[in-house]
Amino acid sequence: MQKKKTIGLVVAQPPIYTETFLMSKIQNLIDDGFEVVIFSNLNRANNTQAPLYSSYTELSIFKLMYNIPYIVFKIIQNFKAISKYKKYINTQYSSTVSKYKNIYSNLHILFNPVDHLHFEFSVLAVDKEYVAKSMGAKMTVSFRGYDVSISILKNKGLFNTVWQNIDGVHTISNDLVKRALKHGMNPNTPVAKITPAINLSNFKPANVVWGNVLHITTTGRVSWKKGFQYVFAALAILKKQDINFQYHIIGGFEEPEKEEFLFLVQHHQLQNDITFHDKMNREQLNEILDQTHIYIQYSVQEGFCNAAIEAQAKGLLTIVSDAGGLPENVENDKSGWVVPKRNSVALANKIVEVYMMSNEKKKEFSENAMIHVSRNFDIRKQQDLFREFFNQAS
Amino acid sequence: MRISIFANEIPSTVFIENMVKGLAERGHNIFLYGKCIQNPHYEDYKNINIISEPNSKISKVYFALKYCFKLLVINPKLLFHIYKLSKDKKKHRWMRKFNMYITLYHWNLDIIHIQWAKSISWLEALIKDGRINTVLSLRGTHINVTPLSDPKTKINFEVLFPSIKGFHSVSYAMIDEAKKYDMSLPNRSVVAYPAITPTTYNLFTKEYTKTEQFNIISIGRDHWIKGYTYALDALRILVDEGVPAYYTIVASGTLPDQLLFQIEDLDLYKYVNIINGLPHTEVLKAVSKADVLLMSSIEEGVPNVVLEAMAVGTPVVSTDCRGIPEIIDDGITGYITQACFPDSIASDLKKVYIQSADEREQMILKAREKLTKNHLLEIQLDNIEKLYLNVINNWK
Repeated sequence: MQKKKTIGLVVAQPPIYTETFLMSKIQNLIDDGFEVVIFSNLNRANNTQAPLYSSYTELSIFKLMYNIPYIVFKIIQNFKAISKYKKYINTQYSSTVSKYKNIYSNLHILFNPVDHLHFEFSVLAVDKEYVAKSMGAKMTVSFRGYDVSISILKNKGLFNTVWQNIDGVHTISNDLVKRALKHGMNPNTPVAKITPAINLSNFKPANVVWGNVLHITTTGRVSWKKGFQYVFAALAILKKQDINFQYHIIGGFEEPEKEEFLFLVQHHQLQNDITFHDKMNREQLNEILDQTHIYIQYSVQEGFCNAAIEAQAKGLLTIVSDAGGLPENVENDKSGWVVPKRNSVALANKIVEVYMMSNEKKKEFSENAMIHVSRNFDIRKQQDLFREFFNQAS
Repeated sequence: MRISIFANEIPSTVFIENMVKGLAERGHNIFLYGKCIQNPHYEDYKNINIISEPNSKISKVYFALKYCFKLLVINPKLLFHIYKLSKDKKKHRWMRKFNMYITLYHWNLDIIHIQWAKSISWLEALIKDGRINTVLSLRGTHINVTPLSDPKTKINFEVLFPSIKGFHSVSYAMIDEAKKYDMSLPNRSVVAYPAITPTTYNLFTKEYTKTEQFNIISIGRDHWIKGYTYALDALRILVDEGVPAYYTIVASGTLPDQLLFQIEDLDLYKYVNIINGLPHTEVLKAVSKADVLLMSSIEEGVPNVVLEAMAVGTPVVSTDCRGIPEIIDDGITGYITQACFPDSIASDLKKVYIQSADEREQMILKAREKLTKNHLLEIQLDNIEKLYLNVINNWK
């Protein structure tokens, strides 16, 4: 019998139940015949069927003492990989202390050899660039959003060693690849674009009734990345045009930015027109989406955006910005509308245009949106693509 | 008069320092209590007294004991009173308050002028006690923004404003905003506009050579209130329209993710220079060299940098936030643009770009004329003194 391929998934922390994407990804890989292990920096409860190995840096002194015989045994057992690893990082670290610190922080991975080491975020691969190579495994990373869009700007050259060592990339959008290439990724690196996807059976078409009040909704935490400052300015323009609307924002605040956005609401005199909701469960969210006429995702930075897929899946009239992966998410003038980012006037004009559309036209867009999602963002298709990704890369 | 200027840090901002020195030059005895962050250079002012707030636990205890003994001899009743006033459930707060109160009370002051509204919670008992006359400055974000997201601050304002004897406001618009916490506040308020010193006013030289590059400058910390996001969007619009714009931001601190990302996203690296802080004299030089000063804030009281630009002969494009229409007559002494709308900012910056030399000269002259009416340090100090006298005479 052929030996099962082992995939090591490096995550920031073990997935919790609400992280459906990662939970189902792990389960699907197991179902597809892979052996999956999870490597995490933090030691938390493991809700998956895959074994979890967390970093020894998490151990208290007492636990460490207790574990010393085991660690020594494992070092002897994996001596070849560890000494290889030490050789690889020799040039990376000038001080001996930081070199050994790095080895210690990666022991949990080096002790458990895999065929394929996959980092769920690129930033997780930093300081672990040679781990896969030392144990003869393939190394791949996922591009999601923040790491390739922002971390890379804060620390130029952060991913240089990662770029040199990866055997493949999973990206959720072409935009992220473009950014990575701009910052030094080897153009010959194999890239697989696998977008986020949804379970279509969870999304029933919204039964929207149009009345005197235009109901607009956005889901997502209130932060600068989501472009709310531009949405509020656009709404101020609508208000001047005497359009009666109610805007619902679902997801709560990014705490440091709360002051800014509450102030902007007052600045644009929208206190009676905007409602901030905390995070909601699926049922409560559907209740609001079922009354939504226009869904807006006017981000300035976005990986791909599940919320925009979900809105289209419910047949909502969806307006997004052209930031990040959003133009790959919404098919402009077909499944929704893509408006230039950071342009409140253009957004306001588009909202008015959609609002004034005939009912037939609205219906046409609504149906297109649902078809678009079922064709392109079905979770079953995503599962096939992931299987292919791990098979090819391994 | 014996006046304490209470601003948390010594030295404080340029405009508070100008006020401190100005009042001292007029013969008042000035008392400062706060954290000494650097040498304030008061060597020439014999009537400025400083007591530095102790930092460590030991120095706090030593400080308290020293003043306890002093007051025990001079006025034991007052010591007991201060002890009662400064009581707090949290030990560290109690110690800080006790040291603060004992210093302020033992100075035998006529006025405590609190510079930042957010710090009134520390002086709550002292304000309610009423033995020392309290005056509060109404400035920018402390009044307009903080109470929106911080309910505690809002409650403090509602509870304490009625007990404060006088208010110094940086604009009439600010009085309007603050009166929602105390309806009778306008009757106890005096507007003393921010002001510039004669030295700044005299920095003006008529020489101006237009270069090929259109140099825009903004001054102010990296904070959302400064509206740099919209300024950068406006810059992109100008560049796209073929204006050879170059934008300098003199800020302080680390560049936030938002701006870092925006500069990359809009491909503005070639057109932006962000300078991490400059000494005040260097700021003035940079402003006088620029073609235009952009004040892109979403909210402000009356920013000093606008007055300084007007003084040194640099046209100003400023957003329409609260106090600005009281300084700038749109199209005459500068341009007022719409906050949060980059199109509007870009279009007003372009007005300066296409100005003829004559139009520019006229605008600068009118702006400087305006300053001499309301915004010279002497005028500000007159108004502040008027406020103090009103408070001492109980607004008779």
